[in-house]
Amino acid sequence: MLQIKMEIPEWLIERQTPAQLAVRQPKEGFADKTLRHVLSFIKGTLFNEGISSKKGFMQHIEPRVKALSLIGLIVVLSFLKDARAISLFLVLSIILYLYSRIPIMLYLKKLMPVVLVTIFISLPAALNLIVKGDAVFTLFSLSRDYTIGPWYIQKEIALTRQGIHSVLMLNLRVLTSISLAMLIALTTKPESMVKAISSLLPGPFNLIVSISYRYIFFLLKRVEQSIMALKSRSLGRISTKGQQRWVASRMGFLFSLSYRLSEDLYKAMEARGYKGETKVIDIFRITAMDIIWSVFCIIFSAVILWKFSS
Amino acid sequence: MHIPDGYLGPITYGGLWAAVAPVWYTAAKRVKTTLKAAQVPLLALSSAFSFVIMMFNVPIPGGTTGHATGATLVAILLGPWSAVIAISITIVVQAFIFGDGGITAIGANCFNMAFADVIMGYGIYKLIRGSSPTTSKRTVISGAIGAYAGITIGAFLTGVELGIQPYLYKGPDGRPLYSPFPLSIAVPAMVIEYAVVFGIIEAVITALVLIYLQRSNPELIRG
Repeated sequence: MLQIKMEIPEWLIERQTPAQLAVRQPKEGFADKTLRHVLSFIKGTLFNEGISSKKGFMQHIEPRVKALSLIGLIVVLSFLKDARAISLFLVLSIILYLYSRIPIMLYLKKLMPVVLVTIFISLPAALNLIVKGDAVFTLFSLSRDYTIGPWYIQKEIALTRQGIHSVLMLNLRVLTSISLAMLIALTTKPESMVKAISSLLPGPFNLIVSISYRYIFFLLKRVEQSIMALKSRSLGRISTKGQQRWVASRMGFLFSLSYRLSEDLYKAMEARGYKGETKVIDIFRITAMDIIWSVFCIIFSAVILWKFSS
Repeated sequence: MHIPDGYLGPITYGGLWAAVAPVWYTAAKRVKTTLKAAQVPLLALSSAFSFVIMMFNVPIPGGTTGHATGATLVAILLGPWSAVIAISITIVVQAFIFGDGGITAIGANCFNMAFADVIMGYGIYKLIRGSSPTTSKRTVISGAIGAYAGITIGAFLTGVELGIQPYLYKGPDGRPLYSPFPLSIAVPAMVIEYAVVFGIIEAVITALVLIYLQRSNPELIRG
């Protein structure tokens, strides 16, 4: 009788330390990055939809009134030159987040990427290499002044008072603007926002916006499926050229698919009576709350402009 | 290349809204006269396509990745004025619905990406391609050069818009009130970044997509 000796090979029994396991973790490739990007986008949109369904203050404002009033506040904010005035807009936005029942962690998570990038980009402006002014702290000294093309480098590299103020001002302005702008996306259901944008556009562009929004998710789903298929049938590393070819082939495929879908979609629309004319059904109603909110925005902006322009 | 809110002062972003408005008007007029009812879904799906291709991480030698905007590619596939509309819609949807990119800066972002990038990229593509057939190597090469030039011109304009801020807006003590980097820094920073990295990604991806379509669906390359 044939006896099969079942032995587990030693390399399989060998215990690996966490450090060894960490070393063997493959580096995140282009496919993983795209997949992460796509999934976090879809997850973020679904999460935003959940937030926009909450019974908070901004969620009750009519989408067009909300978008126009918040854009108005951002425009007024862009005219301000005093950090204290901009801070009042930031405080207003934080109050609106709290009354709209948006978790503070979500607020920070949404704002952090742009704010961190702005901090990173703007920090060199605190030096006299970028913004000339009164030196407050000398970092190091060179042997002499240098002029290289259009760039003048002073002997003493220092942080300047004007530079620091400029960096703080830019960061405060960007943070406050994004804080207000993000309220539109977070407190409005995407479908309502699409409808609000569409209602402000002439035909057939209103229809283009609403179809476009719906198909973004459809195409993203195809991207996700393509990446999963690639991952499931690949072993080892694909060359950079091979990866680029794959990305290009997926983009080409997506365009071909979009083309085919647009033909099918037209046939479906035609079958339902579409002849080229479009009409957005206005489901929005202006309430007393919308009027009170709009008046508040106007008074708030006027008071700040009057108070801080003198 | 997206400029967020807060980097540009009101004169600059207002001026760019005013500059892009006639572009939208012309694009809308041209598209409306040529757009048949059947092409409305195509333009909508192309706008969704523009949105999605910006999400692809494109591998670059050295193990890192970058993003392509696909502006010239969309112009080659749809025609330049349709591409202006499709990419503008993408930028508006990104800003309002997904909170990505500035709202006051929509005019600037559309001017740089949906107008300058598209028109320059497509113009250079047409100039080099001449009357060579769709399936020729020349079509691919002119697409790549157009894409490279288009995105680099877009980056140059972004650098100029950011770089003029310290000259336009200063506090009483000379501190910049918006983007603090002067032209001598903002323009080279933007142009070098795009000429060395992102422009090459854009060119390679445009060329490879055109090669793919030449083999699979050459009739889709209409521009």
